[in-house]
Amino acid sequence: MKLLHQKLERDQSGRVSVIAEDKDDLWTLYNLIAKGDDITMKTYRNVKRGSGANESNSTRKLLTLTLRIEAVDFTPSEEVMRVKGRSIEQNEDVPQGSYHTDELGLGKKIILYKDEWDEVALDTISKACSIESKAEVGAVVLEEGVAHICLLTDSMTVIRSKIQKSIPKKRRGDSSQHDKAIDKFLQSTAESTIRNLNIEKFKAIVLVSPGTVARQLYDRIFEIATKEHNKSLIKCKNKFVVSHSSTGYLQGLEEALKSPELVKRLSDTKFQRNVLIFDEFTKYLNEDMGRAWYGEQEVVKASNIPGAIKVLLITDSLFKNDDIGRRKYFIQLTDKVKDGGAEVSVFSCLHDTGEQLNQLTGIAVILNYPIPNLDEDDE
Amino acid sequence: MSGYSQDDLIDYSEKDEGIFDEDHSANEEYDKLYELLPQLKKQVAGKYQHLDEKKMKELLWNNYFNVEDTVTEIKDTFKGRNASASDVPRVNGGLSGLLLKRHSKFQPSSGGGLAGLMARKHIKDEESTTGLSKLAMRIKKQRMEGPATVIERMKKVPVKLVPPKVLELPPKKSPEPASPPVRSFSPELPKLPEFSLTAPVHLTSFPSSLLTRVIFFDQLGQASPNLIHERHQLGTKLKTDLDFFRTFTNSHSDIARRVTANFSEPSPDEKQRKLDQMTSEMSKVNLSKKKAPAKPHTTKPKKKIDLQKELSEKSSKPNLSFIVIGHVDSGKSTMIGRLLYDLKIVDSKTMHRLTKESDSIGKSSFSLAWIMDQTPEERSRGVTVDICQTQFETKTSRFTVIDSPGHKDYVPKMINGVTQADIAVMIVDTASFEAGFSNNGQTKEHLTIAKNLGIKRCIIAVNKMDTVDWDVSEFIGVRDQLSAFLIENLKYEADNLIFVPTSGFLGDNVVKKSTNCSWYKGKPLMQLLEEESRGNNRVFDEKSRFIMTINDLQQGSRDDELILGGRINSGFVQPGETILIAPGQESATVDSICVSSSDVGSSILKKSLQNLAIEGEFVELKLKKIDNADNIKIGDLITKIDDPLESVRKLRCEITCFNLDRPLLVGTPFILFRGNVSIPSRFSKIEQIITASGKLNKKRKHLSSDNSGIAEIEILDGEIPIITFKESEKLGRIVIRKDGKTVGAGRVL
Repeated sequence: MKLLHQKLERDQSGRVSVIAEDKDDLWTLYNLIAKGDDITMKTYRNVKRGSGANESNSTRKLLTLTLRIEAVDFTPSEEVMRVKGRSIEQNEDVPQGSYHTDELGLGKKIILYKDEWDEVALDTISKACSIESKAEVGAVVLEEGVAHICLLTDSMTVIRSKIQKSIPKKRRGDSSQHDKAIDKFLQSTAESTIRNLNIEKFKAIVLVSPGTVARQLYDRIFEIATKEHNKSLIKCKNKFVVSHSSTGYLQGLEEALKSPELVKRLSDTKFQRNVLIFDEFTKYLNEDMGRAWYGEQEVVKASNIPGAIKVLLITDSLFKNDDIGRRKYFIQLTDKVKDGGAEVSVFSCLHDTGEQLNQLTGIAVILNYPIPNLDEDDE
Repeated sequence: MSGYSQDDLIDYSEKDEGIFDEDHSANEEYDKLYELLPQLKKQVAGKYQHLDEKKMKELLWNNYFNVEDTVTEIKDTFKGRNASASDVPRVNGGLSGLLLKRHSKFQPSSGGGLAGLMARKHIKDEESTTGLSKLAMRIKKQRMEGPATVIERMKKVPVKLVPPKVLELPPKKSPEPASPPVRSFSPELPKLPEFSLTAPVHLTSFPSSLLTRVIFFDQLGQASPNLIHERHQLGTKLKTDLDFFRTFTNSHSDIARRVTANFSEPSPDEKQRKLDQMTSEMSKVNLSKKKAPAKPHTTKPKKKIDLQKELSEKSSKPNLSFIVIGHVDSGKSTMIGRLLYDLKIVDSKTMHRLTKESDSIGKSSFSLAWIMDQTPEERSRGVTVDICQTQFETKTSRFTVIDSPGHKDYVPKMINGVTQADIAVMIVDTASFEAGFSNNGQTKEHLTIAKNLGIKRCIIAVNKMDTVDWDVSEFIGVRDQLSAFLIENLKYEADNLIFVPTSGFLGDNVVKKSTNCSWYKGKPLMQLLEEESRGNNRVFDEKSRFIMTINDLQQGSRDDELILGGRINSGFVQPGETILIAPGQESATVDSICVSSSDVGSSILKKSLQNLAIEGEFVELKLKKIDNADNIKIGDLITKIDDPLESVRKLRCEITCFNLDRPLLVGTPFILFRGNVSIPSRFSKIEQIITASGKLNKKRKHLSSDNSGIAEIEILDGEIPIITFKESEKLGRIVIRKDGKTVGAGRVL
């Protein structure tokens, strides 16, 4: 994200002017823009000329509007976000208070005004603007008959393409239909991988499958690359990592991200770290010794014991709360935990782990030492 | 050139075993050949004079240097053939005819038959989209290498490219590339017509497009390089230009005239354009017709049959399906191979070939396993990847054998297999029992899955007894450990477990009783299975709901034809009835029902059409006029059209967890197995948790080791048709796996 201008007042209100540069930025903005904020941007609107009988005479006009936001909508698979609100400034074409909806795409400058910029919001902006923390990883998770080609960014997993084929079973004495189908499947997966992933831009491309299918895909991709003299692709050969999972469905990816080879390779990416933290959390949870807890009440209790919390896990959907009171409450909670010297890990609910954490109330802790019965009510 | 490397082509001919090439046979084979040839000559002297030396050699080779077999084959093949002069083999010099015969003989078992070969060849063509230009390049290259090598290569290439029937054709023309380039298809051009004369019979069985290409490239060989480019472009349209092709095949006297005539006609491009135009017009009409699709309704069976009579016929032979399971490398595929070989369902010829092939890559001990493991991947790695089922009949029973992979990665496939089986045959490797029995081994996991998917009886073959010298204490050691686990942990009843010491590799106690272990008083495996099949003869309830699981999908001979293989879970179906496939809701009429099976003692895979298929049978349904074949997937359920199944996204289940590394949380993704569907899912709600100590915990949201509970499972990818445990004991069961481990099992409520 590009930060063009930032001006904060003493009462913590202020405006920030930014341009979204990639999908992650849109997600950041989605989490940042809350109901009641003001956004100023350039937008097209059909403006009606004249009055009365001539009303049908409308033209499309580029305007600068300031909207008070009522709803924000974001679909990760598309690169646009929709904002809806009422205009708050008088304009010669648009009366004050009229509704307007616009798409916020990449490369569009917006000015966001908030009555109150809190710690987390400012932190989110500064993180989104730093370049070095960005890493995109391509991944293909597959098994015989099904392949998912996806894109991993810091805050989301996006499926770019899914390939599914019924593979006839081999038969005693004749497996030609099977072999043929497998070959076709590999070919289309390889082609689709090359087409759908911007391989040159990625930090790594992970091919994950049970058995040897991933290895076969790897071979096939470079067979195609050699055949087509795709030099740039051949150059990226060392970016490819073939790894193992037990399934070709998306969850195989999380499994593979825990494997030592990928841990080493992707250790500095946020989603990788989150996968590992979440795994540690579930490990303690399974031991049932009181070192891992989830639920708001339990976490609050743990935060009251100094030095107890090792890691606080929280999903971004808790911060994205229309109820400002709740949002503030969680911000205070994380601040408190941070001050206590613990690590705070914010999970994006567009990743599998964040989604899982969300299902578990969205907030959890790993403790430094076991505290049993944290879930029992104090009398 | 990678698409068509020489290696590929060589592989090809080897795999399909059909083509004899004296110059390319190994030294020892060569010696043997000449050693045996005089013997053979003596035996056939007088009777079959038209057989020349070359043919004899070839026959010998085909019969693996067994003189007697060769003589029999000669007798069989040439019996009465001398009489008719117009007979195909003779016209063709005997050779291709023989090959044809040989291939047709092999077709059922080896798939190396002509059709198979053609099909594969065809596929190869289709798939390497640039295959055409590759070929052109190849020929171009050959031209540059000078005439001498060209002839040499031309000889080689077509032999491998073109199936045996046209075998003789290319060498005939091979001298021609040396002649000066000819720019157009002038009348005096090649001797092509000859070939059409000699082989008209075969031509009819050729995929026309392939033939077109073959001929075309023969032409190319003579065209100048810059013409090649032109022709290549044209070549892509060749399929439509069948007229051109016929010119060279069906007539011989007046090609010149035809050619000129053809070239005075509109160009292929133009024809194509017209065709396109017509097609688009036609499709418009079709579209408007399709707007009001006839609603599928129940249809009557094609034939009126006496249900009771058919049923009693069916039940006279009990049907038993068994799956062979066990840890990786315990010898599952080898055991099945041995069983089929000793029952003479696989003939010695096939076996001989497999032995030779496996020997050649240094894996001779895998030869029996290769009967079931056929894909290149399976063979090179020596690991079964997917289940493979085959059927055979003895005098008293019908059997379906399912071979399953033992490797950890392929447990999902094994689960698919278990859902199709009545009983399990567990294979344990005596020598390395511990590896399989440890927590990471598949011995326990397979047994756990089998039990939880409703397999009540289990035969445990304590295998590789030959490696421990048939030591009775080893057998007892394995037996005691396993039965302790089976009875205590999995709650099997002791009566339902049978232990048998075997050696699959050597064949002890598989079909024949072993003479090596006098201490074993029981029966060999095959006899035990026959007993099981008698015990398994269930009473068929003709009023039960027809449900069939799809295990296999194969493309029919036409595009809109589909062959669904699967097992009938309950009820019955007849050809002519209309069925509904859930969850895709595709409907179709059953065109025919087919059962393929082999008789003990015969290697022929017979396909018999059925008037009726009932519960427990493995059948193939042929469907015609499928609109959307993509809507049908392996694992789908078939019912009759008036009895639709409800497809859901969420199902309520009773779940028992096994030993877990990580707890199952609400939201934890896992793979759900039901029947032979596997589908990513998660818990959307955990209603009730009973901990290992039997305590009810209401507050927790996660299931840990040995917990059980009631939960709602949400399917993450589509829907599945639901059948409760009450309705079907098989389809109402589920197994869940996560990160490569089986973590729980349950029942649909």
